[in-house]
Amino acid sequence: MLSSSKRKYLAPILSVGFLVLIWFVASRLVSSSLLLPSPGETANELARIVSSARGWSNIAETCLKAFIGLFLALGFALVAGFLMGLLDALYDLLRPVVVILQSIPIVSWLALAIFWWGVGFTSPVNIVFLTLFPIFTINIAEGVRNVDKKLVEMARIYKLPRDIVLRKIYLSSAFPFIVSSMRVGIGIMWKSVAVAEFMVGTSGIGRAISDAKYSINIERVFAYTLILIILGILTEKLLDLIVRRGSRYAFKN
Amino acid sequence: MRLRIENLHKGFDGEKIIDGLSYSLEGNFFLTILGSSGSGKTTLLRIISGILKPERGTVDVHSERLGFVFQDDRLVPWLTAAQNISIVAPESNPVEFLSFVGLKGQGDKYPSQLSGGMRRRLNIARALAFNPDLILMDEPFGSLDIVIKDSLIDDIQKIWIDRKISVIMVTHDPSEAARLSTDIMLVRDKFSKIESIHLGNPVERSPDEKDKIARDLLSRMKESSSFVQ
Repeated sequence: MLSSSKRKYLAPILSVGFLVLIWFVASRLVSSSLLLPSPGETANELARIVSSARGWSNIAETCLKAFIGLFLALGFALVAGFLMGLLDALYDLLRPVVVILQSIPIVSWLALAIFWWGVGFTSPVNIVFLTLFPIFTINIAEGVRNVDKKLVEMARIYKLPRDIVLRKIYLSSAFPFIVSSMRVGIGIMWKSVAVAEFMVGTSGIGRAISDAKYSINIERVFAYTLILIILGILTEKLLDLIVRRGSRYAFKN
Repeated sequence: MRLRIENLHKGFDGEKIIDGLSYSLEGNFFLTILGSSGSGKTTLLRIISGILKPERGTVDVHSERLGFVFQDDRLVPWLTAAQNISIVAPESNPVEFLSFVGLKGQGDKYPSQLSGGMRRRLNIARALAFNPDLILMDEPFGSLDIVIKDSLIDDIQKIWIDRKISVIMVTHDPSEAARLSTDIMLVRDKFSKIESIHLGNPVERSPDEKDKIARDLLSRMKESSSFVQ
């Protein structure tokens, strides 16, 4: 029997390996790099991308847009979510608005983005913001509302200063909600930034996939897709790291 | 310390909880509000603390700093024992108060890592660290192991003697009241007919006297209770 820690590392390697094997067999059966490039061809293309300045600038551009959108959304959502969480009237008033915002499909934003912000850097950033802001806001508001009212009453009896109550009681209590919405949000972030670049971008991974499509370079579509997947996994690991460090900092003095 | 309650009224959802309570007390007192469960004792305590507003009447407490020992402890789960103290009393030395209640060396533990008795002690340590002139206690010995309860009663008496803090305690247990109180407010009929009993300094009370007082209080509680035939 394997120890559970070994199994933890071995299991993903095995499952990904199995996936690559199926991909390899399928590409052999199809035997057309136009329809389904093999893992080897994709790896070659990936190597070409990461050894070119153009490739790295595409990756950097996409990361920049994604993270600007993410941090803008998080910043505004913290304010909006806290206000909604603290004030019941505001919650009742704004919750439908946020839900409507959340229900607007990304294609509608894309259609409007061309007219509102044009083609370029701003549109993908705004689309990431628009898709993430409602998700974060709702979750933060719920997290703040979820606070143990008895702890708040304790804080009132002991006359704790407002900033301490907000940080040590409300923020700490909303913290798990913020983290779980970030986890969901990060996946959506990479998808929406790529699709926005694809439709209304002039640079970045999404645009590179669009260009590859026009030049019928399917290996490159695969390679950039792989890069997006790796970025997604890396940011999730990064979030785990920040959460572990951050909670140690936030919950201690 | 002075406590003065005049013609106090409070209800919830149309149901009267407190119906015209008047009471006053002065000095370094240990007041026990004694009554059966559901008699509105906690409501009165919350009104005295200022967290709940009365419908009518006034509560006048000359307290600068008020500590509260909660029935359900209300410790912040993501703060350690020491941090739970320093959050309400940033200038205090948590170690001093932790060792005072017998929690020496437990400062780095989280509330979930402490036993029920230890959490109650931490709850008391927090109230003491706040440096109060009045402590309100809501069933401080409820749901505690009998041995822990017994030593905690002695501890609280020691605090009352050493620190010259007035205490208002809510309980349904006449023997707790007999052991600790200088004064007892026996609750009946939604506070409209309370019985005020002055006992004097509990330190001079012998165990026999305490037993006798407890039995007497119990029989008075039975008289006033509509549930017991």
